[in-house]
Amino acid sequence: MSVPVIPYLDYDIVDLGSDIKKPDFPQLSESHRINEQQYYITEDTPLNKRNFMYQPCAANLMLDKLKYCGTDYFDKSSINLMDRSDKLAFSLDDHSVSVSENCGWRSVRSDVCMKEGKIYWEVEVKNVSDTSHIRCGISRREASTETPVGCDFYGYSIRDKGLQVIHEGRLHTVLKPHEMQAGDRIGFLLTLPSLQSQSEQAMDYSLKRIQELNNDDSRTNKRNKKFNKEFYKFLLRSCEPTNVVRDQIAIRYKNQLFYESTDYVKTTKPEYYDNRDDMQKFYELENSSFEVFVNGVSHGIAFEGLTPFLPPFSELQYNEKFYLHHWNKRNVTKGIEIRNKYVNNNRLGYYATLSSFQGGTASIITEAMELKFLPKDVDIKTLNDIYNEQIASDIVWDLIDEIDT
Amino acid sequence: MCDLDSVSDLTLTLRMLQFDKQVLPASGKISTSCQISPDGELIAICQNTDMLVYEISSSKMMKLTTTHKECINCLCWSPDSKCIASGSEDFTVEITHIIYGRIRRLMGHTAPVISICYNNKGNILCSSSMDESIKEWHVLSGTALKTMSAHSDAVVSIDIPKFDSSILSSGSYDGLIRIFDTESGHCLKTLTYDKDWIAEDGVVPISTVKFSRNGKFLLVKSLDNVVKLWEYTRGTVVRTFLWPHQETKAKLKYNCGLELIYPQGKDPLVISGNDSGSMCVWNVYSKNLVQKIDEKHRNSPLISISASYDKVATLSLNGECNLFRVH
Amino acid sequence: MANLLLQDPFGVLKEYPEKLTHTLEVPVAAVCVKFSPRGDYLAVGCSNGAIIIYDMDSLKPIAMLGTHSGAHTRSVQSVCWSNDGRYLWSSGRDWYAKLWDMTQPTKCFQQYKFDGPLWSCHVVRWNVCIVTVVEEPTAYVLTLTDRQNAFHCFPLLEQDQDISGHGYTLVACPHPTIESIIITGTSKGWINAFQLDLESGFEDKIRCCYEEKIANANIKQIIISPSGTRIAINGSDRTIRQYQLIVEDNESEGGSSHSVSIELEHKYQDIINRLQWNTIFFSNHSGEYLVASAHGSSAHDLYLWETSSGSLVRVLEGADEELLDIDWNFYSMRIASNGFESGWVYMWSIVIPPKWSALAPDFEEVEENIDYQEKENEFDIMDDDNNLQAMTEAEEIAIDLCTPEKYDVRGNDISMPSFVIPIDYEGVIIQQHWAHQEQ
Repeated sequence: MSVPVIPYLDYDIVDLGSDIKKPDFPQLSESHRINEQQYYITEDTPLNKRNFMYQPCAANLMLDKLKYCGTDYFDKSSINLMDRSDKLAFSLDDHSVSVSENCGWRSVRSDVCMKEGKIYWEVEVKNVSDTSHIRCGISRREASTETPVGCDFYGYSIRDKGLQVIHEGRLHTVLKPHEMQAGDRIGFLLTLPSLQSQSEQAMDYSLKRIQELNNDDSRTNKRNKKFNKEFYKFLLRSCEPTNVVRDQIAIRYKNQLFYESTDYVKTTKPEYYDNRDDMQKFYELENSSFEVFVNGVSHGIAFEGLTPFLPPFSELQYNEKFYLHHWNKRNVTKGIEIRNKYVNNNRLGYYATLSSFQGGTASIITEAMELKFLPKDVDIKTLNDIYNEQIASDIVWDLIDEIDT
Repeated sequence: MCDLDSVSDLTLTLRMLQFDKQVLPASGKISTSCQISPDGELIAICQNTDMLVYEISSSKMMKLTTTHKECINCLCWSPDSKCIASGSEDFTVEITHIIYGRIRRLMGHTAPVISICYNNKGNILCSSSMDESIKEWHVLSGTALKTMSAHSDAVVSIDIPKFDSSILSSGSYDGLIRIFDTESGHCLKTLTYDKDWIAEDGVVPISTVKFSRNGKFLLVKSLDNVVKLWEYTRGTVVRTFLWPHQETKAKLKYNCGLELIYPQGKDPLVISGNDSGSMCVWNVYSKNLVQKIDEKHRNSPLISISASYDKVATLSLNGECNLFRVH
Repeated sequence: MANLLLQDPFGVLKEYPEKLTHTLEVPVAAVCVKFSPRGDYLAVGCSNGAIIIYDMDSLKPIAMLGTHSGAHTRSVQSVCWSNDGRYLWSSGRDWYAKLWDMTQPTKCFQQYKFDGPLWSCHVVRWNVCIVTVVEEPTAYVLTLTDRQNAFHCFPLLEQDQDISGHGYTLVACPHPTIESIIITGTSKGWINAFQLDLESGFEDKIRCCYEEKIANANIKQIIISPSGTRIAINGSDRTIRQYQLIVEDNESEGGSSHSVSIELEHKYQDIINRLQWNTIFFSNHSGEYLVASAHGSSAHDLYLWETSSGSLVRVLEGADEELLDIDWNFYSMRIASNGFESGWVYMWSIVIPPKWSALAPDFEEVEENIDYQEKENEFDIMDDDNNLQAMTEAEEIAIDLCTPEKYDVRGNDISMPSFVIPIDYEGVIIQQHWAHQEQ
């Protein structure tokens, strides 16, 4: 089933030589000032919410069938203007972010998805005080931007005053304490295992779950609904952790083009929450760690064994009833392609995240040139490096999709 | 408060509850409720659609039949000890006079009736059901006076204080404990949160509610086998009674019995059963575990406990009913 | 009673009910109404001699007095309950005063025939009642000294007291707190206060402790506030006179003797329409309010005055007809009054709207929107250790599961048990049998 692609409008097509940037930079409106610096929010871009995510796109005449391809506002990696709360404002000068002084916790993610290897970035603290706070760290797609990073299962962060580590809403003292002040450079080194080993872990997990479904006699939850074991076994079997399947649809929003695609949802009580010994190896990515530096000095490893994110550890927003119904009828009527919720849409991974409270301000430093304390290790990449790899990967998948359609 | 209670009560050779006699042996029939009459002379036990009435002094048993079409879930004696009200799986409530037979058949619930309770004058009967509502009936005319719908799951237990019929308390599987005004039917207080307000694993289904004799405290048992005594006007828990050596996430499968006992001249006691047939007795004021009874009702869930004066009747799901005396 | 603790105190502590909430459509015209002491039941005396008891929980009639034997054969003029709610006295135009035992409502327990139709009866103890009779110079004291025996009746008069010229005694009112004092009023405006000795043989021990002519009119009704400090007298000169009632205890040989005096506080008159007042009633405690029903087809409401200032504060509306008798119960805070034309009984109560803040433990009703200020740890899960400590402290508080409250929130005494009228199971069975027969 393919949704018809929206047609071009005149102003979509831009000459390669012209000065007009596509996409247009969004309209901004003033939000507040911190220390004389003006912060803005966007008026006319959709924000990632209700389990949908948005990316600016543009017309591409070279892609005959797809017609559009993804594009971006900034030349280098920075914060994702769509992946934030509407109360979180940013500054045009240095892309620092903050909320106004009477606003509670809000978050923003960067536009780069970290999937494997070692990645280093810094957060420059611009404004913290007794009332203004920041928290910085990493989060998965499922973490909400209306809450501080680290308040749930899907994020890991550190606190500004005291450097406590935060995960699932609980604070622990693990790192050497430090009180952040304006001007501090907080460095983060994220280490993830290779995609190959992550994929193997995900496949193992799928097999384990299929086995459990086979053994289990009755799977009824509180409301006594019938749990369709066969359907779930089918979904798990057809799950391919590293195959990218994207469902992005070009839409017009306030005269601009955006790709809309479904985002990942929080899974309530997945089976592997139940602290079972035989599931232990599925709770963590092996050899993964999250180390924190303050002004070049390591304060310790904040977290080890981060949670895996490849499908089936993550699931998309999904109309289960609809697909179950059609799957039940698959031998009778053809037509509907059964989408899987355990799918990788190329955006699964960890994102550098910043949260601001009542005027706390900071910015993410992504480029090698701007980083002050980049460790001397050949394997370490910066966010900007990953950003370019991400764009290249998107182009590859666009071409594959163009040929496949 | 007796000084002996402050010494380890378990070492006292004089036990609070002593076994008196077996009222009924285990039968194959479904028995879910036993109630001692308010005058302390009779014990009513339901068995399928019948009620057995046992006279304690003479040990004689009499059978009362009802016109219920499915098994009885709960029983309640009228305050004058003349009638027994029964709530059934067939959605109705019947009031049976022990001499004259069926007096009333009250229809109105749309799901099995789980709990019933008379007010202290005996002119109003309240019933609660799996249809999430509580209904008030006028006994003499047999009419439904009001319906209170303030729960989002089966209401499994209701209670009215013995000397004050102005309030009714309800406990439900949705985790809420509510207190209603019997005159207006309005909800007056809620003691716990439901799952809209806190994480789903913070909500524990309630299995039984019981008022203290002076109607100032409410004893609540939930399906995680924790018994709490609430001072409901303030909304605070003043006592918690935990089952000894229990894992933290254990859950009961049945609404096991709960009762308050007031021995003459001594501190009140709480007695609670679990789904293997054991019972624990705590001193309400000191929270000390004074007795654990494991030897009766082996391996069958303790489904109902009823106390009147110095007698305590216990019933397990397999139909065995025993009588204890309080010393 | 506990429900009052959980409701909004401003609503619960209102001093008088304001809204007409129920109408009992009594099948026979009601003449007099009386709540049982706790407000559980309402006795309605009817014009054909029937007395119907309504259950206030369901508002349905549950008993009719005298259906087996002993009912009045003429209109019932007044009914009154004993303090425990077990006995009911009634006086009728059929010359009888009857005592009813609620354990057996269908048979009259005891009765006494006078020499004329009775005006009213007022209970002093369950077995002692003051009765006023048409065209008799004194009131009578009716006592039942032994359950098996018949009544003993004697006039309420001090030996050798001269009351010629006082007219007929129309009304009497026992003092609510000093049970030996009875105040009577006559057709010529005389007020007498008598002191009885209830323990021994009465007749020779009656003392008159007050005598005064206060008006040139019939005394239609005398009421005393529950605390015994105020007295109001309704006269046929269209005036309600409100006095301060002072009873002094003079120690003398042979026990205490009281002397009674009254001081005028206010007079209530309807200057515009010059209405007669039918019935008057004080509010609770020291009678801060006085409610009255008025005579005439244009008067449809109950009037409520504040007795300290004498000013009209409220008019209880809703009944579209003249109202006769009034009874006000302080436990249930209800006023009942019967209508002249329809014979129905109207009831006013306090209506407290449901509180939405009752639906969750920490809901609070606020006047205006409060902007919530998020805290830094808004999303953080706090350590359970602190909670545990607070919990264990809370669990050491001393508690008492057995002792009940003595008074309710309004100050009424709830320590005395009240009588419960037994449910007539036989009646239900018979009813069902007939219904079955008809099918």
